[in-house]
Amino acid sequence: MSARSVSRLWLNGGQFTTAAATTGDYPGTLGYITNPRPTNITAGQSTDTFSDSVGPSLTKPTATTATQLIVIEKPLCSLNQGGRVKPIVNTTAYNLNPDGTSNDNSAFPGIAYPFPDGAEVNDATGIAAGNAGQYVYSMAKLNQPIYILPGQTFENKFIPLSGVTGVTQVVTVDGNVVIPGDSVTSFTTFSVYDGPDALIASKLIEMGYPISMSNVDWYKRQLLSEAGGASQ
Amino acid sequence: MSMRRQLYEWQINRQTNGYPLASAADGTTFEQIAGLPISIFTGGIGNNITMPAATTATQFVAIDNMRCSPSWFLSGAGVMAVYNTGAAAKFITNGNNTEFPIPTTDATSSTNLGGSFTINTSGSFTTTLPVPTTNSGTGTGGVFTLNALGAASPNTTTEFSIRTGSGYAVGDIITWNAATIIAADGSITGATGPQLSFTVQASDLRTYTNRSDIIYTGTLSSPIYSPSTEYPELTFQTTHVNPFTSIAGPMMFMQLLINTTSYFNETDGTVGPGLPGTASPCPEMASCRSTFEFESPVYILPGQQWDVQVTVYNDSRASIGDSTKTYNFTGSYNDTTEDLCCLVQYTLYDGPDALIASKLVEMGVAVRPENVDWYKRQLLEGTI
Repeated sequence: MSARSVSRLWLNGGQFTTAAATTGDYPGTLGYITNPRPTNITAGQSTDTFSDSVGPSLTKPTATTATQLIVIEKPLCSLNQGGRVKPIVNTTAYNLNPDGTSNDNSAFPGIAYPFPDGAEVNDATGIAAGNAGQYVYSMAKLNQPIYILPGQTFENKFIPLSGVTGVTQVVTVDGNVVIPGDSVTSFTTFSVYDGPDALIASKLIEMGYPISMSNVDWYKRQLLSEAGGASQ
Repeated sequence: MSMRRQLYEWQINRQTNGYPLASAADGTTFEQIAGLPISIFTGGIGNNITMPAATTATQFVAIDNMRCSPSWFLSGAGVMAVYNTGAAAKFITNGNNTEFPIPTTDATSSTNLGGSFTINTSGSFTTTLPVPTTNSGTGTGGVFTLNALGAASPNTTTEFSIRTGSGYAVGDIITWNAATIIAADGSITGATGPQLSFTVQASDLRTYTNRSDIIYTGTLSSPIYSPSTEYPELTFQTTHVNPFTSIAGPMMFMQLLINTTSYFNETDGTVGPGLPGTASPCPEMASCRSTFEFESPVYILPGQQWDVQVTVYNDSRASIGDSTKTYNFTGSYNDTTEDLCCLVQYTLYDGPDALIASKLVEMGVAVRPENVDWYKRQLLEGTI
């Protein structure tokens, strides 16, 4: 029985190899590594930020057990390279265009949900980095959080509309030079309800209430009150 | 019986007692901590306390907030903008470093050097001029050299060169009193005219051209970038940029442990490094606001031990990749220290308040001071 606020950070940082230093294709890793090198991602290539071949990966794709329920609260990502994220529950993608279609552009863009919250537009353009007053802030949490019900699978696809270039190192007449790559990231905050709390969360959905820890606590209090316990 | 909101601050560049480190040599290097979880209470790095954090049998702790140093994930163009902005700030007129073209000389001309001033000495010579007597502009730091090429006296073929310095602009008029020049070099026996006057021309100044790459030393797999006369310190917001990862900041995470259980688990059931500082930054600033908060506090029940561990994955010192430089290192090339910090804000309930807090947990009510007070009121009213 628990309800926890947790998060997932992903970035396109891969493991250094001599070959990758010239191509920018750094292999993904299991878990985080030190000094991760930004790797190439072609425009439109989607990467599951939980389990995939780019960046730090988990051991398996994300899925809730029969006694778990996950609530996705904020799908954030980089402004860089037209970054955006598309949550996919089972086979259903969020969000959709008004005509009901879904494409790469209909994902949640970093310009609306930037990470970090306050990322500079200039970070992406390379113009006057550090210029105050160019900060981009996130819209509020999703009005309707995304629920991953017990037994469902979940992917959070990062999709850059522009190509992401990996870092390269070459030898020139000037000496050893590094051509910096594009570092892109995704950050997802979500709550995990487990055991009885997941059952209560499911009950709240049936009742038409949004799932939040305070609402779960409220439901528990109602149960206790009915049982003759606390009145509030 | 009490409820107290408390805060614990940890910084890497601190002595155990919390005071700043006495010297850079006492500090910690990235290589010492890279990828390793460090306890902010008893990890042996930065300020520490005397024993692990734990609640007594009559205490209850609710973790309200955790913060640590943020990072920014930059585009390659963004990194080069940082580099070029820094390099342009180090712009040197006719500088003699490898970053810029070789020094140029400006042959004497009537439109540049004051025509009424000649050096009265025989033979060729080179002399560095003293500090100018006047300067109509704002440039500083220039080293001005006179190269007299002629064999006759007075010299009529004189070259004038500028090295280093910054801030000079076309049209600036810089002058030296004749007496000052004569006093500076014994080979100059006299001069004609009251002063030497030099007017800065466009050809004397160079326009800094943005680079698209950054020169480094070290090896391919272990590259080093260190600020120097030629190369700027790569600063961004409160931290340094690593040009090899395009990450500004330490890529720092914090994990909360209660007894032996980690709070921040991954969705595959493994234990990750925890919550990134970029999501819960310290300090919180315009360019990085908090995007994470505990929807419900995390509880440390009576008799439990707890800990906060931080893990750093990105080298964000002023000298990237240099294992001899600590986070506390400062150098002569604007190498500034890099501070890593972590804050934990928690509420300590003691005595009867801890009992009420435990009761609230049983009831499924969030443990907050207002709810503890609510429970007390219910007790007094006899409704519980």
